[in-house]
Amino acid sequence: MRQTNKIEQLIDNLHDRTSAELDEKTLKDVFSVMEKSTKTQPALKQSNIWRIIMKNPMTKLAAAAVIIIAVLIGANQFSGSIDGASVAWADVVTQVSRVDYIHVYYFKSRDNDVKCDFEAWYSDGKMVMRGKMGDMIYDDGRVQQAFDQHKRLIGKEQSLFAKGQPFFEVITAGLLSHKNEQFTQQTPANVGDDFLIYDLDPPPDEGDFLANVTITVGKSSLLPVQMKIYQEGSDYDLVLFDYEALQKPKEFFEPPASGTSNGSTEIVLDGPEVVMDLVGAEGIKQAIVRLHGKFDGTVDQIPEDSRYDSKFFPKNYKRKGGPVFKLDATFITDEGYLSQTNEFLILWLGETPQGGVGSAAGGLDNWPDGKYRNIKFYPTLKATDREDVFLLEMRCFLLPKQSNTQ
Amino acid sequence: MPNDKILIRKVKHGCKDSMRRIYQRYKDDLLTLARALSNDKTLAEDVVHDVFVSFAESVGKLQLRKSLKVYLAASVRNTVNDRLRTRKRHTAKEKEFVPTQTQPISPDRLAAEKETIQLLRQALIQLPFEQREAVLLHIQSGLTFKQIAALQNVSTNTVQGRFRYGLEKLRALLDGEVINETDK
Repeated sequence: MRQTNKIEQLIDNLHDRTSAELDEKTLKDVFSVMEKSTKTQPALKQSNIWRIIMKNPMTKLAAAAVIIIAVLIGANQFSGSIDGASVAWADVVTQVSRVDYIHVYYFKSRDNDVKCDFEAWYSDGKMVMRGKMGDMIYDDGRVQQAFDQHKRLIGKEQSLFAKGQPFFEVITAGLLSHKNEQFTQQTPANVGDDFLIYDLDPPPDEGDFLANVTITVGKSSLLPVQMKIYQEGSDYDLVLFDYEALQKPKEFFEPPASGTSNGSTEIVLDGPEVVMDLVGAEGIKQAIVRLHGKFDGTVDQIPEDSRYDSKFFPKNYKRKGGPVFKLDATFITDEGYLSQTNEFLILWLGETPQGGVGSAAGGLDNWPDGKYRNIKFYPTLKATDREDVFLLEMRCFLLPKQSNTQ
Repeated sequence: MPNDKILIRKVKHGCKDSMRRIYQRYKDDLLTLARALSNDKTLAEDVVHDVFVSFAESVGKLQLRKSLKVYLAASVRNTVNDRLRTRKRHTAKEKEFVPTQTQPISPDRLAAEKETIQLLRQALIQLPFEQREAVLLHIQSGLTFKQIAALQNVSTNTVQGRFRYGLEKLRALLDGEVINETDK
């Protein structure tokens, strides 16, 4: 069998050369752009950005929100220095920590197309987040539950705020934290009549693909009204904040019922496979499950493994601690077809992650009858009074058509 | 040889010679990437042209923290993606190069280098686009999984999965073990 590193070598050896015609044409056009942009760049860019903003109705609303914010923030005056140039970032962090209601719009600009990615509301330690597909996340400060647009529970895990971190600290990946010594003494890069603009380097963990972050802060309130996160290239994320509690959605704070599982079984750690009968999981009649690979060590001891190797797992493990377990699951469809997970799923006790069957969990059309199927499953592992025996609850469903919404 | 940051700074001040150096430095790699992603030489040449013109347009506000190669490779990826999508060539090209019933590729045929490259191209085009991207951007352009994840707007795990499946499928295709699997 051909070794993977030889395939890599082959790919590395692919080499095309540009033609003289292409070189000539490209350089001619590039130089022409350089000459032109030197003369007209400012006006053209301003016009393009404005056109893009005004084409997008969501952004129009958001632009309106910024104006409203500029008026509202006067109600929450900062009692300290109003000499904008000397306001250290630490003062902003202090002021933010006093806020008990925050509303967030999160936009993404990709390839000059701006779209609202999600909207979130935070109040009294609870958060509701609504995604662009109608999916929802409810976080009550203890547990975070995710529901798809059909109100099916698709994930359950420890709250983002379980360790008492303030909302702003969490959603800014630590930028708005007193612990962030890198920024606490930083003063604004720009000072206007009403706003201060801070220009911050990205958090160390995000530095690989973020260029920098600018945060616009009300000069009187010292509350952030806008955060712009620049990525490599021209893409950026735009986050808008307001503090008007009247805008709370009806979902705040009433998560849907999480529903019942399609099957449950006792399962022995490192024991044999168990066949679970599934009820009410349309298209799927059984699951074969195996629990193994318990890990309860320190972050430094995380085993080398394709899944553990990702940067997400150590971060999550550091936050939540152990133990974790590996679950293999094979599903049997009503037609009697078997499919396996791509690789094991990592489980924390009491949490409900999402698993999928098929290539990169996106489904497959190479089933025996050639039809596409995608199985999504949501296992929950619970402890029992016996150390090596657990209760596994399984919810799952089968998608017979390709869909971008799952 | 001046590094990219110095060249970019000079380009920002209108230095054409620095732009020419950047172009000479990366043009072939970018063409290779664009062609491997699209399996269309003409489209690949258009993409390289457009990426450099776009680079010239935006260089004034460019704040580069990583390598220019990564930035340009990402631009090539995005432009190829757009071209394939907007011109609706994607499906047509893939169908054109995916035989209705793929034949296993005999290892004996890999002897001649030219033929090997051709076989590799044919095998690459049989991968789902996201897997092909992951494989080429990582191996050929040197992007990290995290950088590819940001481009594809998915998790690093997913990119690693796509990369692994892509490589496995390539290996199987070149060894004649897998027939035309079309998973996504």
